[in-house]
Amino acid sequence: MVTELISGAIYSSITLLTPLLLVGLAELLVERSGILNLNVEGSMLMGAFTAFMVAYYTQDLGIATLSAALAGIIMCMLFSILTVSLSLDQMVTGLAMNILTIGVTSYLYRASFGWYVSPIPPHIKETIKPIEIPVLSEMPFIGDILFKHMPHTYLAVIFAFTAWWVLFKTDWGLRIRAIGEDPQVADYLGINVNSTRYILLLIEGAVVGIAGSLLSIAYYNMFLDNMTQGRGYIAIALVILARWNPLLLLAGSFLFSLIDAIQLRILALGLTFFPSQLSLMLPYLVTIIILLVAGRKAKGPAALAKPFKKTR
Amino acid sequence: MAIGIAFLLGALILTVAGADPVVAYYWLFYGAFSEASFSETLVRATPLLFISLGLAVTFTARVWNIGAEGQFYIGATFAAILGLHLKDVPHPFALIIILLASVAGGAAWAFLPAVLRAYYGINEIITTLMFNYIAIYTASYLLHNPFRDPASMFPETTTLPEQLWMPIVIPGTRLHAGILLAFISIPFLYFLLRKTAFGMKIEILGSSRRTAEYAGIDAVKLIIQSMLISGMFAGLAGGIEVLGIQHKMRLEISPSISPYGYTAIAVTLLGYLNPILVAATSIFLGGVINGSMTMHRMANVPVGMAGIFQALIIIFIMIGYYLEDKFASKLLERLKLW
Amino acid sequence: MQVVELKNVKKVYPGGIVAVDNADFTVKVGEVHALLGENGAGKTTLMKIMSGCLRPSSGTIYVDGKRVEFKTPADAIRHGIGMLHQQFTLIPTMTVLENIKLGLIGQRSKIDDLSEEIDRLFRILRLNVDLESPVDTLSAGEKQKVEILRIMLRKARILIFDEPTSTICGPDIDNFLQILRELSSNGYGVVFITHKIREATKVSDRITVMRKGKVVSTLKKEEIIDERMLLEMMLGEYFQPEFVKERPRENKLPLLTVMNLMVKNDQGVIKVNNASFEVYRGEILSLIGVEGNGQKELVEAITGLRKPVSGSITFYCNSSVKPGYIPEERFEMGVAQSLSVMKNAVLRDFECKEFMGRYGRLNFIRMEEFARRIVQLMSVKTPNLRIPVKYLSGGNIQKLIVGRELIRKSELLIAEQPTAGLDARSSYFVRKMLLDLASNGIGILLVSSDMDEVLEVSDRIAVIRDGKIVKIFNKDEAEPKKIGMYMLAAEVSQPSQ
Repeated sequence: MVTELISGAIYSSITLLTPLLLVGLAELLVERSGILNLNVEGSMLMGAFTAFMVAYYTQDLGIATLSAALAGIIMCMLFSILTVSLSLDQMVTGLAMNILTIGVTSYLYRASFGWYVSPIPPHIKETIKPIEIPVLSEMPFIGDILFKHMPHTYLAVIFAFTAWWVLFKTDWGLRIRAIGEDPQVADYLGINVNSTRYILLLIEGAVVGIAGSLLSIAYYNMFLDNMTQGRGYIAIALVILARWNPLLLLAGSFLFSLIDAIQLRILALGLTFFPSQLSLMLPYLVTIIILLVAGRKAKGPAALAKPFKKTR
Repeated sequence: MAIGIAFLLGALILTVAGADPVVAYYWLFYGAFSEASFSETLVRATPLLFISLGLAVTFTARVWNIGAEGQFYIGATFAAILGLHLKDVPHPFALIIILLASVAGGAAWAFLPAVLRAYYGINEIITTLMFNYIAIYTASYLLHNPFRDPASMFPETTTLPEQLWMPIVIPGTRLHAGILLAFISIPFLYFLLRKTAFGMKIEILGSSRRTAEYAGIDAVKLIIQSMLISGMFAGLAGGIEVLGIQHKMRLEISPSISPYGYTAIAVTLLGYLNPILVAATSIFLGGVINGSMTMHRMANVPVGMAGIFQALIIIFIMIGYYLEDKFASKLLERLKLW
Repeated sequence: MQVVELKNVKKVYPGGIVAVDNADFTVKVGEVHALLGENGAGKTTLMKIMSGCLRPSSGTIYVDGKRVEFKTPADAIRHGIGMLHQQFTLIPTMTVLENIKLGLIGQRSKIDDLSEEIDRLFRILRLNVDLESPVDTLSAGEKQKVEILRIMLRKARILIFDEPTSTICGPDIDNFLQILRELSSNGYGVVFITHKIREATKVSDRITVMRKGKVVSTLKKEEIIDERMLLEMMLGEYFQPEFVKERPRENKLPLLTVMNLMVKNDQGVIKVNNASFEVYRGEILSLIGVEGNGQKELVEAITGLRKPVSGSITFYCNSSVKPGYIPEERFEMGVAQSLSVMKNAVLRDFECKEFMGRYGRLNFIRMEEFARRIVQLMSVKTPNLRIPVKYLSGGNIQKLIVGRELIRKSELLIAEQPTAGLDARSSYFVRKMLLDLASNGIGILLVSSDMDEVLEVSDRIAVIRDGKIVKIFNKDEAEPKKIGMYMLAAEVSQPSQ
């Protein structure tokens, strides 16, 4: 019984950590180049929305995922134009776009399905199912926990290691980090600051869109207003906790999701003396605690969130 | 001008949605500003006004208080709960005590994120946002369990006794005395921000923290002060909304199409952080919200338009800022070099 | 590559400012060619054009007789021309090796093939640091050498140094000048931009003097009779400031006492290590030292920006006016950029009774008066007092800041590099004002790395090294060599007395 609880909890945490990790890694890379993109929240939501709509009308989950990626890319490209090319304030732009996205998705959703929430909300029939990795998944105990997840999960983990390697062991990573520390110097040295940022944001768009799609066509089979519920922001906090290191982010997201998984289990148990709202609050409380603990001495890329204008 | 573009885009969306934009806009403006509905507009604008005035203070200091929504909720909840226990206190005093409580509640809610930002530089956008969710869940808990109205099937408190309702200013409408308080706040805040040493300190802090320190300003204290002020206003808005309109606390107190706390952010930015413009904008947006409901009823247009409008407006305003800045600096570069 | 020539180069900025006006300049491999001139004479601009950082409005560049056009600094480097700017282009949090790698961007060669070359350059430059150490742990001199190495690694043959001695002092300067000569004998051509005549004459084969964007003259070493000649060319007239130093010296009332001060920096490292000194009324005490020896933290502690770990700082001021402070980071700290000129004029005093009315209300009329006084005094060019300060030119912002601190009625003034970035006339004016203030009983703590300035105006000179005040000289005993010795290390053998 106990082992089941533990294995269940670990399994859930791995599931839950996937969207956080994906968003976090993408944002980590972008922040390493000096851009703070609060709009991951909105892009994620847009991804969720797009994936659902496309899945609903085409019944094709693959295309739905791709269109989520596309939606994310469009959002992030818009953000890039405003913050990289026009050098607008990154925080305010990201925030504004988030508000915009919540409004747009809710509106378009209702435009398609009617203005009042019906008792049975529109949903898709099939969701993305976890895959089973051959051989490895047949191992007792560990096989169930580790090797029966959505393909996205494995991609996320691979992404984590790749990101770490790229950032610290390659020339590309060096350039990205240089931009994040001092874009003027990087520009002088011949690094194309704006293009690099655009590319990173493009990648982020795709990844974050896909992460969002997980919510609406994998974990659930429907779309809800403001479905992301602040998860994008939580990812940003986790990046700070991880001191902008992909491997630490992997560990951090796992710990966070573990707590989240436990919270959900408690909720499911329906314990009367433990208010449900407290469980629901837990992720946000934990985030605050994370920020308290890690946010103090966190030294991020020196040029984070500062606008960059070429001086020639 | 930015607003104009937003409207054009809105018209586009409307047409796509199958509604006639002209008719829709007619109903929008009728619903917002006609004699019949202007009071309603003011009603909607009241909480917006309070919150955005408070936000103007922190935004000027470049402290981004996104937690107005949560502070609003806490203020409202405090007001309702206290109200239920003050049945025997004479009329004017009870109101004042309740309002003070909601002010305190809002400020308290802003306190922790303020401290985290002031002492440790922790991003207040994330912390205040987290606190919003925590606030809503806390309120939800309180409304489901200890303070729930046994007679109602919704999670809400019992209706407050009539003596605790805010007096109506214009008979026949829902317009209550809260609007008077709001109107007093406008010049008060304008004076505070533009004409006092405190306001100047905030401006300097907003320019750069290092400069503020150089100027001898206690940045830590100031950040906390500004957040508290903004929290107080948001809390007050909650209390007034409870006492004046809802007469109880419910979870839907902040309209989901355009939550007061978040909409106020747009209002403050639109008003260029200037209290007078901000006030005008809040009335305008109150009208938009109100009008979109009419628009929805009469012209079959989706209620979500208000949300979209706002966001569009913010983005265009910011582009406007950028263009203006660029234009102005080009202009001044010529002057600079004489 | 042997020769680079600039012919008829002109650079005009939007708004009509002519930074470089029809200048000709050549530099050959094997020579040290100094480019001498006052601040704003156009030297840096001209060299930025030569190194590809700026495009000329007109004029041509020839490398070995062939006409070339540089779109980016990388183009120039490919042609063998590299420039070392006044600001470091290293990334402090990254290691030396990483910075070198960054410097190789755009180049085909891989870092591994170059390890031999890097060793060779380390030797030539007498550089002795660990490749894996973060750059921010290096001294200013070492950082400079890494920058030089980077450019040399790119096979640059012409090396342009922009005011390289502004961040180093004393014997380090002599070392550096020697390296320049060695470079020229090793097959490199060196352009040495400076405003210090002495250094230029010490080391150059040729000197070109610029003034107000034009090349005044190019002279060979043998043609230079004396420094006065050069000074005249630089300034357009003979201009020898005479400082009349008649001040009451008996007045020995302390204004500021610092005792056993210990201050840590942001990283937790002790930067001020048991420092003690006093500043008296009516005197100018200069604090001089190699950058990074604790001056910054010391000043921060005195001005209240940083809490010391232990020790005491005592002020003996009578009035309630805060000590004046001209900060080194003028733009980041000295002004609130988005606020108006008027508000910036009272940036430090707006809470004083003078500018406040009832209920905390501000008295804008008095603020305006005060601002006007500063503007007039320092000839600050501004269309009106209400425009945001960020629209003023850098030099004018400086003048505003310096002016403000000078005319506030403070009894103590702390001035960090007060004349940095100012042209000769304004510099002279500021120094004169400092002396006037001192004669009126104001005590001044001057933090400067400009030895000439320090020698000119100080009554006493305190040398700071490793966070301690190692020696305080009186005006009469002060000598550049001695001061330099104390700045660097006491192990250097004492010269014969």
